[in-house]
Parts: sequence; structure tokens; C-alpha cells
Amino acid sequence: MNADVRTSLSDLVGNPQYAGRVLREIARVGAAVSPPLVLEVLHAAKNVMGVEQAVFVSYLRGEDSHESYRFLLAADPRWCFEYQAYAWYGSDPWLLYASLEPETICASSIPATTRQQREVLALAERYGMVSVCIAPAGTAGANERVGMLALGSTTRGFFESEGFTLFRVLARALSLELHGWWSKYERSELIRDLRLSEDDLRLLQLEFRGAGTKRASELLGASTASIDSRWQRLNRKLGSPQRQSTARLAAKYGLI
Amino acid sequence: MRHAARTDADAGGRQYSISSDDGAISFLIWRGVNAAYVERHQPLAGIGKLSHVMCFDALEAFDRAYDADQMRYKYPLLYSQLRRAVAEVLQR
Repeated sequence: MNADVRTSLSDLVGNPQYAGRVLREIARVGAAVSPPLVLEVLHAAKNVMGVEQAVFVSYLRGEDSHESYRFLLAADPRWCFEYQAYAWYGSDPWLLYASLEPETICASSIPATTRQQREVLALAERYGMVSVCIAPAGTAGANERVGMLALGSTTRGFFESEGFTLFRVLARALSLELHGWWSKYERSELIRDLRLSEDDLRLLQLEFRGAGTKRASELLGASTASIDSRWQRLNRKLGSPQRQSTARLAAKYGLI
Repeated sequence: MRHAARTDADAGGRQYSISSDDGAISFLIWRGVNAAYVERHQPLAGIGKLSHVMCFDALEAFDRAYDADQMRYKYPLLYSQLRRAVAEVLQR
């Protein structure tokens, strides 16, 4: 049963069955085997949570190279097309916040200090994200992938109200599940697309941990010439000029 | 630059796979419960990728959404293939 989206947040979370229903939807994320199936779960979760819009972004920011932005949209698709037409990833105050801070908060607490940032927020509001909850999801270790869940309501002040204390916990749980799913999916997709073998991944890991060619050749049971040749292929596949930066890139993308 | 489209039906368990010949943009179209799911991919610099997944429960919703997408003007044949694939998926 879908929650009435006109009900106040306080009334929603006050229902004794609310948290259980939401958690049951969140638990379905792990069983999804493809992005469309995860999107189905996101749609179901947002309906049960009583919000009208939901966008999840899994992203890696970089310095003009190797950036990655993966959107799941249970929201007005026109927002996404306009947003991507302007390529506003660098100006998005919500993405910036999620890159730096772990706390789930109301978006109204995130300042927009530049004209472009204000335009990004105005676009979101135009497409139904009037009151918004932002739930970041980070990753431990060298993986720099970040997740951000934005849950939106057309009702002004919807999240800036009583009930947000419980709601934010559920939003964070959903964001973390989605982020975990995308991290695993992106990793397997990259391994498939770049045709990386187990030995490739072990070699990348050894380099990342500081093992040189001689040590790698001992551990992998391969000649140093073979190791050098493998590095040439890996550098080409990952678009990186030398093995140290290739290994760092592999770590950044969660491959090792 | 040619912007023609290739269509592979039922590729890898999906309904349709559509891509432009210049490799700049590709779509996977899936059938879901009462909806068509459209997954769009565009390569970014290096091994980066831009993608989004959205769903449409009616062709009218698709048309409304794609009025806002520049892709239909930059890649008209690809857009036509995409629309046809979404329509076929929604009819099943």
C-alpha cells in the first residue's frame, strides 16, 4: 500500500508500520540484478516512504578525466535532461555536499553560494523537488565513489518538520544500500568492459601496495617481461600513462 | 559524422540495444512491470561514463520527457529507433 503523499511527514513516520514497510523495500535492493530492477525498487521505496521524487546518483569526481556519473531516476525525467544538457555536475551544491559530508540533512541547510548553484536548485524545484532530503553515502578506503540520494516533495517544508529525525535514518539506509549495489555493479561492469582478468586485478593490487616488478613476478609466477607486457596492456585499457597512476585509478574506481 | 543507429533485439536478455554509429550514445530498453525502462550510456573522458535509467508507463510520458532532450535533434534516427523500441516494449 502506498503512503498518501499529501500526509505530513510526522503522520507518516508516526504510523507504527511505516519503518517496517520502508525497510522491507530497502532490503530488496540487494537482490536486484540490473539497474532497471534497482530502479523498480527505488520507485517502490519512495512510494512507501511517502515522497514524490527520488534520484540516486553514484559518482566519481575527477580533474577533467575519468569522471563518472550514474543516475537512477524515480523523478521527472525532464529534470535529468536539462541538468545533463548543462553538465551541472561541478556546480551542483548537493553533489558537493555529499562528497564532503556524511550526514543526511534537509537540502535547505546546504547553501548555494554561486549563481550556477542557485540555477541548479531552481531547476530541481521547477521539476518537483521543493523540499528535499539529501542522504550521502561514502566508501571506505581508496575507492572514491560517492553516492547521493535526493528525496523530494512538492510540499514546501515537508522535510523541515517533525518526523525528520526518524525519516533521515531510513533515507540513509536506502542510500547506503543503493550505493553498495552500484559500487559492486560498476566494478563488475568495468571488469567486463575492460576484459580484466584475475591476474590483472592482482597485479594492480600489488602495484597499489608498492610491490615492484620483481616481487610481482615472483607472486604471480610470471617473467618480468610478461609483467611489463601486461602493464602495457593495462595502461592502455585504463587510459593511464604509467603503472602507478593506473593502479591508483583502479583503486579509485573500486577495482582493487 | 554519421548519426545512424543500430538496433539489436533481445540482446543479452534485454529487449533492445540501440547505439549511434559514432559510439557517442547508446540505449538499452527493458520491459518491466507495466513500464519500459530506458538505460542510456555516454562515455566520458578516460574510462568515465555518464548514464541514467528511467522508466515510462506510457508512450505519451516518453514523448513528454524527450521533448526536453537535445538527443532527438542531434541524433534523429537514433531517437526514432528508441521511440519505436519503447512503443513495442509498452505494447507487450
